[in-house]
Order: sequence, then structure tokens, then C-alpha cells
Amino acid sequence: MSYRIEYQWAALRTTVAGEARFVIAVEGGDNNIGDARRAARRWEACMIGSARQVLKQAVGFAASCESEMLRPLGRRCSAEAYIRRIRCLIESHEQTSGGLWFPDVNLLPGHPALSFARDMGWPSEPTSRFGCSEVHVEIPPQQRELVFQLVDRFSDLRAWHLVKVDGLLGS
Amino acid sequence: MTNSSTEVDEFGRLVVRLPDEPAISRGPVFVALLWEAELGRPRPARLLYSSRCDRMVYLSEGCLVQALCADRAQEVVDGSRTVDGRLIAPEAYLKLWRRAVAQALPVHRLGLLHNFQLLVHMRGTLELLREARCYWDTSPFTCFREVLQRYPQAERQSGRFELSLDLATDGAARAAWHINTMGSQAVGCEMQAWTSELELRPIASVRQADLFDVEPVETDDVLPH
Repeated sequence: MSYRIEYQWAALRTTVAGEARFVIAVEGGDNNIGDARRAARRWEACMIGSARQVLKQAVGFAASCESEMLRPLGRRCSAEAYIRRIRCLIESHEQTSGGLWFPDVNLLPGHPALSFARDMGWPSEPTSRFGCSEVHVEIPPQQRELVFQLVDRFSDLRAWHLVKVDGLLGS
Repeated sequence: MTNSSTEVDEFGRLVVRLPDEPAISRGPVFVALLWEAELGRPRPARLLYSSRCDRMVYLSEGCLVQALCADRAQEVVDGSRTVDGRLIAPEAYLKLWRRAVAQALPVHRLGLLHNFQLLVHMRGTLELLREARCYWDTSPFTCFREVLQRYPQAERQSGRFELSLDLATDGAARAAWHINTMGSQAVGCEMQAWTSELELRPIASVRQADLFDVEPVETDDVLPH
């Protein structure tokens, strides 16, 4: 059975209205995709929001550690250890060098966040991903921090629906 | 730190260990009980994660922690769930449950110590069940007919199968697990044709030791002859 391996974690911190907000980027991939010597991996945004929102999402991911579907560094890990790892990441004040994030909002057609985007005046266009219909919403670069309003209002949206990360060194 | 405006306060938890018997799971299996107060009002003890799609579930430690991570451990992060009136970290919350698993109470002591009985109720359409077979070599039954021979009272004239077992009795946990597996497989996609559920039932009888602790009733009235 395949499982996900996580290799590296990075917290990209920004301040919105005086409060710290985070994009947690994780380098990971499936154990059985890649060549014989190396499993394929890539950086992607996995958690997003305030420290509390990120921790809540980390608890959700930690459930997969217990079933061994998620293995940090390819090893078994308890749910508590995974949550602690993410907590350390957001509580440490070290800046991740080189990493950056930018909005890349892709929503299911009919999602209530689309009417919020319309009210904000953000342009949108239909697109598809892995054969599924989606709507891509363009947030202007000068308003990029408003993506956190989507996190606050729509708790079902995941980080990978909202942002992309770049500039982080691969393992 | 305390929080009085919390929606749910969890003030007790208990994990009950079912007898170690083969072919239920690779490791020990449990049933989880929870005591909580909602908006300050204590609610009766209840079972946690005891059914899925109208079918009974026994929990391994991993399944329990996994289920907690999906809801209650997330609620402690945003403070909508406290433990004994206090905010708690999710790691510490999970640790409380791990400790409860480590100190799990054998099912036969649940009645003695907490005045509860753990029952499993199974119901199904006999027509679909009669030819069911069990493919587990550690099962006490090879087919559903043997279930009916062992529990003849379960066969109702209405064409229904209805059986309740007390999990504290010898072999009941294993029997229930296999009967449920057979029933689930036999009905296939007709989900309503087989249901099973666990019930936490308070034991009504008064403990003998409590009988002599009752205060005498003081009254000036003369009892009628």
C-alpha cells in the first residue's frame, strides 16, 4: 500500500493586521512514485492560517500518522509527535530563507467562496485539474494577503486550494 | 488557565478492554466511554465512535487516536472543548486518551465499578442471512445456521433476526464480531437489511452496600393502621 513521505517542512511567516499568519510548506511525495533510487517529491503548501488554524490542520493530518499513511522522513511517527513538530515550526522565529508564497486560488464550481471573490471584484475563469472542473480566481498581487480572509471564512478550503510555494531548496 | 464559556467540557473518559481473542484484530480492541458537559450541563456517559454506517465497531488504539484527531483533538485547539474546565494542548489531550488505553478496564469489571452494562444489538432479515458463511478459521461459527442453533431465541416469527449479547459474558465479544461480519457480508449493498449497535446501559439495581446508607425519613405523620 502506498503512503506519503514528508522530507522537509518550512513555515513562511507574514503579518496581517498585526497578527502572524503562516503558510506551511512541506516537501513530500508518495513512496512508490519515482525511480528505483529516489521517490518523487515536491514542495507544496499544506497548511495555512493563524497559528491556531495551522495547529488545527496539523491535528487533522496527524490522524494519518496513526494509520501510517503519512510517514515523516519515511518513519513511523505518533500523532502527538507530528503535531509537536508543526507547533515547533510555527513557534520558532527562524525565517525560512528563499521561500515565497503567492495566491493560486482554485475552487470547485459552486463553492460559496466564489461569491466572496465576486464581491471582492476578483476575476475568475473556469479551468480543470486532473479532469475535474475548477474555477481559478485571480487575486491581484497587491491584495495577496486577503487570501487569509478566505481561510477565516471557509474552513473547508485547504492550503493547496489557495496558495503555491516556490524558491525552497529540494532535498 | 480556565475557560467558563466553552461549549463542551470533558470531565471523564474510560476505555474498556474487550477480551483478548483471536481474529478480531491484530492487537487488543476497546470501547471508549466519555463524560462531558455541554454549556455547563453534564450529560450521561456515552460511547465514542462505536458505530460506522449502522454497524458496530470495536476500536484499536490507532483507530481511536485517528478518530480523535479528526474531531475532538481539533476542538481542543480552538478552545471549543476543554478538559476539566481547562484549555489543553492537542498533544496533551491525545496523551490523556493514550493513558486511558494503557489503563483500560476489562469489560467484566465495568458493571462492578461503574454500574454499566455493555450490550450489542444485532438485527437483520433472516431470508438474506440463512446461507451466510464465515471464512475466518478462528470463528466459533462456520455459517449462520450455527448462529441460529446457538441462539434459537434470535429467530423471530416475523422473519427477523434479533439478538442482544452482553459483552461481559464469555465469548460474547468474539461471537458478536463474527456474527456482525457475517451479517454485513450477507446483505451486501442492502445496508438496511443488517444493523448492529453497541449500547451502554446503566444497571438499574442498587448496590447492596448502598442499601444501608439511606437516611431515615423523618415525619410527624402517624402511619395509618
